[in-house]
Amino acid sequence: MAEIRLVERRKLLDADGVEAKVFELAEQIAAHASKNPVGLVGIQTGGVHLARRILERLEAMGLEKPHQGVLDITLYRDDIFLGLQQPLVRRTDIPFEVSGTDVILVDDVLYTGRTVRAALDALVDFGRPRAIKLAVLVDRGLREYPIQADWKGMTVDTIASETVQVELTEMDAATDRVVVYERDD
Amino acid sequence: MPPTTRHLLGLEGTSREQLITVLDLAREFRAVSQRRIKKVPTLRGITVVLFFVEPSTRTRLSFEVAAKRLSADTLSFTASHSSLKKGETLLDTAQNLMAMRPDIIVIRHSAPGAPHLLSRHVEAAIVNAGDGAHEHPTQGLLDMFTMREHKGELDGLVVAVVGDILHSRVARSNIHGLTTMGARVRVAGPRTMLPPMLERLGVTCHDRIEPAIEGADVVMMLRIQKERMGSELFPSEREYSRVFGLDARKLELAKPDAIVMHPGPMNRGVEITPDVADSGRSVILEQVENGVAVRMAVLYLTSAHLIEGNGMETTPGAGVGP
Amino acid sequence: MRTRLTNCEVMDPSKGERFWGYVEWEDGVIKDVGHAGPGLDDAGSGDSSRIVDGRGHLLAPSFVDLFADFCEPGFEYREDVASGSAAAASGGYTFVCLDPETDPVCDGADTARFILDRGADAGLVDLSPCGAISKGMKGGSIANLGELSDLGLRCVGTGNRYVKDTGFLRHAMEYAGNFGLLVVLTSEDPDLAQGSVHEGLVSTVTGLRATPAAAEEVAVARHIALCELTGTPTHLLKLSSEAGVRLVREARQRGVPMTASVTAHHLVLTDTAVQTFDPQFKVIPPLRTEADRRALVAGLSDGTLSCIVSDHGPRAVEDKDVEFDSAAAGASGLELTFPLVNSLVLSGELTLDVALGALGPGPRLALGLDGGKIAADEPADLVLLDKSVAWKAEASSLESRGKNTVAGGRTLVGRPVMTIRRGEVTYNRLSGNK
Repeated sequence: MAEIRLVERRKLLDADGVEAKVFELAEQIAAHASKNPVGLVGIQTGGVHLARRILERLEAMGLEKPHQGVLDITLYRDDIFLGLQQPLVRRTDIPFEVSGTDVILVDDVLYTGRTVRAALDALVDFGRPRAIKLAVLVDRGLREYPIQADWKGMTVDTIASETVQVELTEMDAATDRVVVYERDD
Repeated sequence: MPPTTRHLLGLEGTSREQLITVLDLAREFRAVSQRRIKKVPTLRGITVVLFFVEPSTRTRLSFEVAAKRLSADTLSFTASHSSLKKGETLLDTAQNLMAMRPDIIVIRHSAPGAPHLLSRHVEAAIVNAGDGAHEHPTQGLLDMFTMREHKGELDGLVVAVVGDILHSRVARSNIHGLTTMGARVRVAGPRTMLPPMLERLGVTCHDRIEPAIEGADVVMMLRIQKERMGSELFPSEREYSRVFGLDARKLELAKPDAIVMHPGPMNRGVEITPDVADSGRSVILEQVENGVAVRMAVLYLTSAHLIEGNGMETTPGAGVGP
Repeated sequence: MRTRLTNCEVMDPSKGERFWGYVEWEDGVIKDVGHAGPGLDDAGSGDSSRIVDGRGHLLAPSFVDLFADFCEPGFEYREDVASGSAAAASGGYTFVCLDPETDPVCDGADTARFILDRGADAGLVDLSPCGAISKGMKGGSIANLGELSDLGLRCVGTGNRYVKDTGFLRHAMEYAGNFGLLVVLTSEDPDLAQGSVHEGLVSTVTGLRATPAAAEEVAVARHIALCELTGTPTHLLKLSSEAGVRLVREARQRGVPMTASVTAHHLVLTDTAVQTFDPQFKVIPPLRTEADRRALVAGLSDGTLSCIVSDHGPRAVEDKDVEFDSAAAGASGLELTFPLVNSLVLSGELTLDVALGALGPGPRLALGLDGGKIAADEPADLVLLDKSVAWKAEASSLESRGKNTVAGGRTLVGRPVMTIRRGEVTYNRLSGNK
């Protein structure tokens, strides 16, 4: 498979910006969590780190620690194996009772909606949540499925040849930032 | 062997990285089997033919469950129902199966190399479910998976394989896989059942079971075919059991936390005594459960190759990440 | 009509000579052999009514085969005498001994005469069916060897089979001696020969049923003892093991009247070829180890093995496109023997003298046939060889109906371009030069 070269186009958020957006998301989720029991489920891999950061904020706010889990949607994808060197299946771990809980899916970027669609399928195989909410750091538009985020850090206009990446120190990035790249064809 | 070739014909020549890929993946698939809804939609639209020319209910069921948990469609074609007995050749039958447009053919056959023959003539990906005395790669993988779950790393593990090595495809697949992963494999059995030059495969050979299992982390007992008893290969069931069978007393020679394995079906009282087979050391039933997970991983990786070549459309940059 | 083949490299392995020159023959007999520089088209007596330009190729005594299967009568879907004859001529052969295991077995005058008639109809090679030494190849009673001898047959034997009753074989060999028939035996003890691959690392890895080299060693020892006991000249076909070569070497040094042969595929291939379960490499006896292969090459070089046999075993697609265990053994060999042996000459493992000596003069000597020399008054049985042409043994490039070869997809180097039997051209690839 030919390697795709990416060229950096613009920076959307720096480390402070990411910090601020995570805090905003945590506040919104906290408001919801005060009414219903929630479980935070990060979508592998970027969503997992974001979910963990949000969780830390929620704890700092003195909230009772909500349930947490991680979800890998590889087995539920409709474009499985395509565009990937190796169809890696990552860990899925939902260690709480999903039924009756408000599950909050956390992902870094909302784009076509296909990932979230797969995540919804994966999640309901674990039980019947009372509700499923979606929190994302960046909504880049260009939806292909009728899926919207309940909470989002920011919205940005993009074109299809661009890629929005959330780079976090947990993923070996030098510093937290959100960057728009463009494919150099 | 996935992911670099489309078929799984054997573990011989499979790299350490490939083995690790399958074993790691199998762990995720075992988690699927432990959920309330034991099914993922991954292989929707994939057709798996279970082509069993030699009877084997256990392996067939295991593959069938694996395929179904991945949402693949399965078709079973076993020798007792087949036209093979009417003199039709293997390839004739395979061509007929191809009319059902299978993506994967899982084949069990009494002739070594039968899966290789198929792989040269049909379009589908071939998974070897045991070919004569040659290999049984998914059994080897599930055995390695089971050892890994109990012992952590396979590197440096001492594994004793005891019994009829000559006729055992399970032994061959385990030897190839385990030596590649850095385990130290010892084999023991009557000399009439040890094929020549086994040492060249990186194992040590023993005439008696005792030195083979002394200090071992894993003791794997092989099934002895009843029809071979009292033949030119060994004198009697009683003598085999006494000299080469595993009982509690002999098992004391192994490490205190050694596990006991058997590919099944067991001849209780022949190669293994019932108290050992049913003891806490025995992981025989776990092997069966792990078989499903490993076979899911193999079907998944085999299909990966298939779908990649099918030219399905996708949106650039869809899904997670770049 | 006098024919002159000129502009070629003449090779007479009986003398070890090689020179640029020409050969003239008339009425099937060589009349003149002479020197001439390369490219010179005319230096001889000038009364030839036909001149053939040999284009610098190598001229040698034609090949003689001690063991080929033409599958007729009984297995014509694989090959028949006509297609087999064409394959032989195309492989450089002018004389071929045939496997007795037809259906019916060639154990009497009726079948032998039928085969000889079919061979005469084809008119490309001289045939000598190897008569079955026992009736029906069953090993119970001696076949009518006298009537086979009366038909001009040169040899009798057991084909690819093995007579278990050593006492019977002794008497049959003694009786064959009455008629000056060469006894031709395959040496593989069936009690030890349990499979179709060599017992060793490859059989251990593949799980295929195996035959140890000891199966050959035991049988060769028996056949040497019987040859010595009966005094009947005996040929051991297709040796495959170091032990077999060693026993024959020692016996021949002792003066036991025996010869032995090896196939081209045993000279170039080892058991690693069957690792992929490709039934094209299933042959009798099985391909063995590199040490065995080297011993066979050495045995050929020191004269222990004086003959190379084609072991021509044409098989139909349906005989081979099955599981390895179920596949028919055999490889279509007449057209590949020279190129395979030539590969050893090119790599320096064999000398050209030894190679051509074992293809032409050696088998003639074993059978007691005239010829094998390129000299005046010798029969004009010749083959012109292109040593460097590269070609692929594909279905379209083989005369034999059996397209099952050990060549795989490999390119072969070297090929006969003209075969001459008693002065008649039976095969010709030199275009525009008929």
